[in-house]
Amino acid sequence: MEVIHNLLKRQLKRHFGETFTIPEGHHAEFLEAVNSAYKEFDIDRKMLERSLELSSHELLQAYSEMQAIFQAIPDLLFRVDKEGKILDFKSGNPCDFFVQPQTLFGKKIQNIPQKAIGLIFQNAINEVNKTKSLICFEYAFQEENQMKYYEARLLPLSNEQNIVIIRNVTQRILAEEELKKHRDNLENLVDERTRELVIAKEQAEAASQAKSGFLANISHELRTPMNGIIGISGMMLKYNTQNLTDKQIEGLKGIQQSGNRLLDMINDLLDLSKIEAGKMTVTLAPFSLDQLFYNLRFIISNLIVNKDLQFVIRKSEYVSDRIISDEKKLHQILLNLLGNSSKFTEKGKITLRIHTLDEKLYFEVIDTGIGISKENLPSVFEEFKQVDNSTTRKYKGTGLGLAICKKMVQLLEGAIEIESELNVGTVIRFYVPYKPLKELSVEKAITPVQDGEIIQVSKQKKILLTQNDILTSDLLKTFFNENNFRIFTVEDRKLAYQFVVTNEPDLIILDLGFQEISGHEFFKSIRNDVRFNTIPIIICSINDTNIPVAYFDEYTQFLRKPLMEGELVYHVHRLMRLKLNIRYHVLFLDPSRELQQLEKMLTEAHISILNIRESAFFFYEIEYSKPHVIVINRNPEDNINVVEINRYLRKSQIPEIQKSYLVVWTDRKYYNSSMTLIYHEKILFYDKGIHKETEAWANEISKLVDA
Amino acid sequence: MEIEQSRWMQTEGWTPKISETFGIKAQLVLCFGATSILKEGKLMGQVKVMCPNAVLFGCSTSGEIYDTQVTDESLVITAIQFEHTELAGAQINLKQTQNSFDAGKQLAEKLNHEGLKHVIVLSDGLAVNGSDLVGGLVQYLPAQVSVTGGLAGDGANFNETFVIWNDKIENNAIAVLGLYGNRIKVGFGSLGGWDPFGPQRLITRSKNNVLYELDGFSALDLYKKYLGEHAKDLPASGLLFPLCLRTRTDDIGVVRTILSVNEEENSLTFAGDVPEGGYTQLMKANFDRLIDGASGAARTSFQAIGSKTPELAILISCVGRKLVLKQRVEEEVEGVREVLGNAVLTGFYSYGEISPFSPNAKCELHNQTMTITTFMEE
Repeated sequence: MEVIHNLLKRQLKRHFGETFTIPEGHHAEFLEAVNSAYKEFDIDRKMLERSLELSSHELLQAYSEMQAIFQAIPDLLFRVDKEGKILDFKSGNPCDFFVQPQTLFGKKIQNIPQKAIGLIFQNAINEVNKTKSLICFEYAFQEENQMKYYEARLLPLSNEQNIVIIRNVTQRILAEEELKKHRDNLENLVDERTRELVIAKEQAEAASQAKSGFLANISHELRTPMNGIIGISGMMLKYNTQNLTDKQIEGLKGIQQSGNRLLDMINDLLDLSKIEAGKMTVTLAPFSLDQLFYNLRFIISNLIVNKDLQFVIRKSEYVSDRIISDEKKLHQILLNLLGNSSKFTEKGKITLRIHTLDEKLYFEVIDTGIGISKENLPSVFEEFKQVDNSTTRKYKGTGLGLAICKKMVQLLEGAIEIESELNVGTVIRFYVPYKPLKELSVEKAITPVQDGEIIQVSKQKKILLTQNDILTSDLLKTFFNENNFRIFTVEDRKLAYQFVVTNEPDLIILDLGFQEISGHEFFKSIRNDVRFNTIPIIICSINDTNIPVAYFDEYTQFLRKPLMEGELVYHVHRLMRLKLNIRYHVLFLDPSRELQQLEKMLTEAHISILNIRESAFFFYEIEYSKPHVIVINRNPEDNINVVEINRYLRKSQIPEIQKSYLVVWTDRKYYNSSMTLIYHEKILFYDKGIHKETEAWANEISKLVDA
Repeated sequence: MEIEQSRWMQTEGWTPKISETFGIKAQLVLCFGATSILKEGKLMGQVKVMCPNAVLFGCSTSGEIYDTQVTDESLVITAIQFEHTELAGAQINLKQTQNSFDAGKQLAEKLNHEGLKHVIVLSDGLAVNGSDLVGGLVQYLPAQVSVTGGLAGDGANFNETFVIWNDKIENNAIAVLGLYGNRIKVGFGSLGGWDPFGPQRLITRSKNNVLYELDGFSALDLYKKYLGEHAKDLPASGLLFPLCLRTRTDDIGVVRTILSVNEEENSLTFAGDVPEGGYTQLMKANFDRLIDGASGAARTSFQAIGSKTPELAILISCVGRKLVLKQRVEEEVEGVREVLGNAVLTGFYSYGEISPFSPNAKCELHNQTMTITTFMEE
């Protein structure tokens, strides 16, 4: 047998004596089994004891951890039995409960606070006993004028006891209230502000309305009498000079000049107001750039007549002649810029460069003038600024020019910039979107002109005037009657259309007036009719017009009111010539009409002539018609710069123009002064004092035509 | 049904003596024997000759049950002749499968499902993930088919186990026997008798059925602490402290037994999954409750069969119980006898038991239980 268990040994000894030995056989097996059993019991017992010890140790550890965690919690903890009697506690902040916690053992938790709160506790305890699940509740009480807020939780334990956790949430509640107040306050503020803004908006809109109305009225009110002053004084100067004294003539000229200046200033101010009110609109219509430039050329060349200045226009060949933009505004901008350059440049050159890049049309005005200093450069485009007051007095002007230019350029969706150096010169550059006019596919009926056929422009033509404005009608009648044009006035558009159908006028002047829509309809109906789509139409309007760009073509011209006589007359003639496809050989520039005899003589010699009445379009005509010979009658009072004209001719890229003959009929003084400046084989001076209108002279000119 | 039984022991041969006619008409012979006997194979060969028409179905054990006796190093054969019941079965080797779940699936699919009443499964006890196997079987068998069975044992050696299917006696094998017909009545019950003690511990690191850490500390070290000088007898001594596993703290716990220990990896392998995040407690055997557990299981299986004395009862009890009960192990079998009257008792001590907890519960892998399946033909 193996080692005998002590107990068995003792038992055997006691019951069988000291000397007992175990016999073989069954007894041995039996005792062996018993021995094993004893040993196994021992092992079992030891195992149990060890398990118990280890287990207890682990439990104690777990309990300590739990205690540590409890201590770390800032809340107040109670362990209560199912009746609420306090068995144990862990205190947080002592003043968070109603009394000192040490005095609490054995007391019921619901009996400690004041009645109302105690009731809440009682209910909670009842509930947690019933549902055996977590109960949360809040309560608050006042202490020293302060409200304190608490959150309590009741947790059931498995042994019919409960845990009560009490947390001070005063801070949180106060913060929530603060936030709510803040939010409410904010909402009120927003409401109030919104109300204020609505009122302000309404006020602003009312003001804007009032302003628009004012502007509309004032522009009409101001321009109409100005038209009257300028127009009537102009008429008087033109037609009645034989009845006036020199002094009176001077006076009338003075009135005209003052009137023009006043009109300029009014226009500037109104433009600025209009732009600032956001009321200035842009009219996009097709027009001829060349026409615009030569118009400008004439004006500018007169501005620089007494200065040693050259004015050059350089247009890139890639720029199409007909483009779509706001002609009036471009004219205004360029005139302003070129005018400034003329004002501030004493000698040298003024260049207008036009080129296109990246779908933008660039205009550059370059001068060799006094320039602008670095300090002043940033503010040139601001309103009411000239460089300094001394320049204002010297150079005159309102100081609005550049500001208006900038705003207009921006309206045209462009941008403007300036570079300058004192005493060297200035470059102002701006661009607008480049919209070249595409060719239209409108059927044109062209009357072929036979070679040599001379058609006098002065044959009586029918002009249909459909308009509303009485003043304009009168003015027109004054312009045209004298030129053997017969003017028919039809106010009603429908009747006007009938007139066109039955009478086929040579030209239509369409005054849109205040009935724009019917005017548009009328225009479209004419243009859509193949019979009439080459009748030249001049559209006049004081407002911008909304006729689609597609309807504009070579036979349509748009003019803005107030109409300038020269402008209107020129375009009428031009359009007539276009329609009749008239070409001529000699171009006369004779404002005072002293060469009528010569004209007649040439005409009879089968040399076609054109006398351009409106000198503003002089250069345009030259470009357009390329006359072989140009005859100029220059009197001292005329604003004609022959030097400039000659230079322009000789520098032209077009061979016909370059080789054209310039015949100047002028007084001796001018003749002497000019001769020293220019000499060219193609320029011929005739002294007024010497040469008269003679056959011989006419022959000489004829020869030039054939040369 | 007609049942004949005999037990072979080294010292005594076959008792009772095998007659000429033993097992001639038997359709099924249940064979539970020690690893050494099955490995040797000669004895099983004899059985085959004795019962030429029968399916041989069985496994290696950690103790064989014959009547109310429990023996080691023996072979117990129970030859059964059914009157109204058809049999069909299948066997698979783990080599032919991807995993234990797949094994269950394949076996389920090998059986004809029409008329199938009950499936007995015997599986390798060391290489198989018991819960996965059961999962695969249950998922691919019809819902109304009950499944009971066990994992083969290898004494207290935890070395190698065998499953018998006719002439195949293999390691890493699983066999299923299906019982067909509507005359066969099956009952089952399973009870433990182990109590959890001590603190609850969180499984912080594990993989399938391999446990590494509890509460961040080595699980193996915990066991060694509790086993003291018996730590050297791991994994067998590990049976003294199975784990009670709960996926949530208030779930009913499932018992998990140690199958093997890996010193290098510092891990313990259990007979079923021990998922991370699960809560565990160590368990101790309560002696009286073990005995009562066996009786309780017997009562459940008795009631499930209609409270009539079954003709046959297969007892599959956990090796852990045997190690605790030691010399008193037969008391639990006696407890079963008391409840089941004169039913023929056979069975074995296993490395895991397969059964539903109760008649309507899902079939699961158990450890440390006495699982009883009762049979009766009507």
